[in-house]
Amino acid sequence: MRRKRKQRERQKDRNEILLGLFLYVGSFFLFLEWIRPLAFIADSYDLELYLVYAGLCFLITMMQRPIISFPVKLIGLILVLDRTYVTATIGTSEWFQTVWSELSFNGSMLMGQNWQQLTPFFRTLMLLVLIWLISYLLYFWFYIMKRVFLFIVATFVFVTVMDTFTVYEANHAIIRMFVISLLLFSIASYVKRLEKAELLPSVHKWFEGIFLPSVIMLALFVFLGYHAPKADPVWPDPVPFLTSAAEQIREGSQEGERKVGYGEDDSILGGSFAQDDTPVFQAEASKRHYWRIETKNFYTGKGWTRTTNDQYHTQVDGWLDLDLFIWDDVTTLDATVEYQSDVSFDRLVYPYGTFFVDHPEAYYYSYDIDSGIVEPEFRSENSLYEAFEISYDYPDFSPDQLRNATGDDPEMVQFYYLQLPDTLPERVNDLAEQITAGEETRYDQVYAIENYFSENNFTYETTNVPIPGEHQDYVDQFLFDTQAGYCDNFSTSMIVLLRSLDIPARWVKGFTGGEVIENLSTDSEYRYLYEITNNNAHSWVEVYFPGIGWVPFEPTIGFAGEDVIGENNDDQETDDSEEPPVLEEEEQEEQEEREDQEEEEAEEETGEVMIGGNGSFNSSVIWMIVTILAVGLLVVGYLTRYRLLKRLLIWKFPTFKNPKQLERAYHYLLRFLAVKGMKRQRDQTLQNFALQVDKQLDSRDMHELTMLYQRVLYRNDLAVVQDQTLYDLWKKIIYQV
Amino acid sequence: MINQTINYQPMIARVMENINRVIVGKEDVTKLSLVALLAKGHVLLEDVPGVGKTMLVRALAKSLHCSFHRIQFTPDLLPSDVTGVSIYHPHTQQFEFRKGPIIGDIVLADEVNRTSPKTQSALLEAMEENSVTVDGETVQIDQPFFVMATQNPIEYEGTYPLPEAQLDRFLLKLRMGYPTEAEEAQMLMQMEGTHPIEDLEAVLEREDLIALQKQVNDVFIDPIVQQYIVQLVRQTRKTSDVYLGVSPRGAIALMKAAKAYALIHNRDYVVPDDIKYLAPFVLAHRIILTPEAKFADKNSEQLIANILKDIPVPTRKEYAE
Repeated sequence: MRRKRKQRERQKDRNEILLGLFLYVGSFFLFLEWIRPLAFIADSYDLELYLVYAGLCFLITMMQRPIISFPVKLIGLILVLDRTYVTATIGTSEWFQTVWSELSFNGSMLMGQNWQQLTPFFRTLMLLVLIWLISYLLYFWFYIMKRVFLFIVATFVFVTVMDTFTVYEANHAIIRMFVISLLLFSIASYVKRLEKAELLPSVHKWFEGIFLPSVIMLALFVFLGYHAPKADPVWPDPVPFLTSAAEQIREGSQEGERKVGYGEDDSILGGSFAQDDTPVFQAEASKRHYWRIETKNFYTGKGWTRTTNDQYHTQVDGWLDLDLFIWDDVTTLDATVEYQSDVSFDRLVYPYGTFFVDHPEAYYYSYDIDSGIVEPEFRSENSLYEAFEISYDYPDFSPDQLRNATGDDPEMVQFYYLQLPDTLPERVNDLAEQITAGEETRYDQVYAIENYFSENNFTYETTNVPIPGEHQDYVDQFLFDTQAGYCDNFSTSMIVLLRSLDIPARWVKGFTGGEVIENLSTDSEYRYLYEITNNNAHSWVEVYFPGIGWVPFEPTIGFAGEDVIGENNDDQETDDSEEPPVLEEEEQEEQEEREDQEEEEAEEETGEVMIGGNGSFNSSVIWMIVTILAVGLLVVGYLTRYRLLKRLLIWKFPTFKNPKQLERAYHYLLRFLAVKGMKRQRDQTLQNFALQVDKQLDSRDMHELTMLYQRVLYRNDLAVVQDQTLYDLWKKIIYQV
Repeated sequence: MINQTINYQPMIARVMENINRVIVGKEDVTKLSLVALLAKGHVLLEDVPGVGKTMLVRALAKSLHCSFHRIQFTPDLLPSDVTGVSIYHPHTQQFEFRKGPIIGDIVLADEVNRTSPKTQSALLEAMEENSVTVDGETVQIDQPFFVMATQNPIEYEGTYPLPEAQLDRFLLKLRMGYPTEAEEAQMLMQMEGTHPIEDLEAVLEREDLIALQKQVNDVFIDPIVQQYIVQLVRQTRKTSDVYLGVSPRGAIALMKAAKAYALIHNRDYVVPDDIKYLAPFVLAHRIILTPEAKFADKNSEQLIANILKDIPVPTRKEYAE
């Protein structure tokens, strides 16, 4: 009888373990839904690596080999970091130096609470550690505690928030999550009933009686649901509402504060702008330039994100190889830039062609070729506002040579800069074909598209610019419906048109040249001081020419663009010598003529300022989410700590094999009771304490347990250890407390 | 090992029940007296007259089917009055030993502190040696042999307090204390008819008692519990208020008493609870406090209580993995 019971217990345990593992695997797939959006909204994420790392962590935890668990996870973490950030060969002294300097730098930043200064390396490290910890936490939640509800709810909340507020589309994720969650519920409820011994422990029966029917039902419902017509959302999209609310707050404060919610990233373009002439920086240069900050490559149909792998090069001395173009005919110039004290981003603005920056307060500079982001690591918080010097080679491309630029685009350029969303309407492509009909060379095609807008009654407008609806494409809407918009509309449309013709192009953000506020010219050179305000924020286009590189173009009506290509009409070779001042004045006038227009365009640029700080904003959103997630998990962990502890104890002692185990289990129980306010004094005998506990719990279990334990301890009666009643009492009390 | 086939618990319970019919509300004292009896020790009962000391011993003797002797100690009592004398017998023309009252099963030595040290010493020697020697002749006193000595703590005039070294001979020192109001009322009710002691019948035979005494030795005591006793005893020697701490004999006494106590509770092993319960009764009278401590109104019982608080109860031990 007893043997039979034992056998049954064992069987039950085995089934519990098996089902627990099912749950844990399910939790892994749910957790993947957390990682996926990160890749979409972050710009420095190598999704596969994270997925692989998460898989590793879960697998190792599942194997329950504590000895190998830690080293394997650590090695995995180091490998991921190495692949992502460290260029040096792993294990070399250089490698250790790099890692050490990263760690020490971030350590000091942490100490100083300079959250914004933390490098991607360190943030990735933190994310990996978080994945590691979560793999443990989910192990306890799912495998040991068999609690699934909380995490499922959290996952749904997270993914829906991501879907609502970021470019991430959770359409399929939601389906996946439903399937996983319902399966998890099915397993979890079975396990719960198994624990309460309501059911016969037979996995076979469970599989046939519960699991299989639920899978079939689920498959049926998913199929039906997937193919059934879907009603439009009943609630309006909350994003514009929040945006406008944030806008009001921003206007109310009258400060150039960063707007949260508005243009949080470029993934949703469109909408109106408020004007903001807060100065951003002053620049002293001999020529008016656009000021680059970054580029983006991925057009979502609503806006822009970046999918290029950020590969930050660090440079201590300020020599940057941004790999923009290869051209011999350049003028080497220099400029000085000084940020105003309320700038909200810490990336550097720089003219096209920059090869050297010298910021007096920077430790070193990180820059990424693809995104063109240059981020110095500053000595202190206010370092940003020190003036810094820039040297740049300003090229003078000739249209002829651009026309002659033939050959294939490099594979990477094709890979990243020809992307178009599947949802792009066909007519966009047709229009591109139509515009460029008869144009032979890439340059001519680009030139035709650049000028298409001004020649076809497109208007510059900053108010009443719509945000595309759910099934509308941003470019399609602009080209065919509204034909009115601001720089984002023009630049994005040009790129999409180009890409539909397989011409690689990318989206550049930064500022226009600004206004001259002082003439510093001397006899020997022209020199002007420009003031650039938020109104000058802008976006334009760079097109790739094989053998030459990225060449800027300006499709937006009323903007002059970079002066890098000689006369468009090839009848005249440009001479680059004394032109700037003249041009300067011309442009000045031009600018004044366009003043009202400019003002309007300025409005868009408030948004663009955001773009300036966008990357960091993006990642700060992620870090905020990650932090909230971490804190949330901690809070939940804290709130459920007793339950966790109970589970942990019972998991740790599935039976009492020897007196040592019994002794440890009994003393864990004593400690647990102590935590719950029933502390045994050290001069208190166990019997006496047991009475006290029983009084509180209104039972006799502790007394009975203690009598049995005493028999082992003081009588050396080791046969008692294996007694099932002893174990049952122990477990019962733990649950009861 | 304890003979598991005999269940001693009912026997002991019967004795307790029997005695409690006579002595109202003094279960503790009854139990402790039994502890001393089973551990072959003796009890010093310190209390005012009239709280039932005599009745307790008589009830005990009657319940156990043992002989009961009583010696009333007075200043003029001679040692031979305790131990017995050799008397010249004219017919046989020989000296014949006449047993003194000490030679018996259960002896009540009432008010021992009123007699001269010489007589006290005769009593204590008999207790220690389990024999008396008169005129060079040694007479063995058979088990069960249980002396319950009483002394009156309030009368110091004309008394000879027992020397400290001799207090060591008593396994336990107890106090009866007054009964509670309810108990006293119940007592009066019982006394209305015949005295209950008259109806008391033996519930245990002498042989059973001797068997029980033997079983005490077989009660198991784990080394960690022994260690606990040793720690307690050693602590009494370290405490600053103590002039003379508990001797090793005290440690042995505590262990013996604990074993007997465990047996009474039908347990074949000693637990720290036993030790903690018995320590004040076993150890307090074996300690001599410093004069400073006495002036500071400290007493041995408090001191033992403090020591019990200081020494942690053993709850784990080293197992081989």
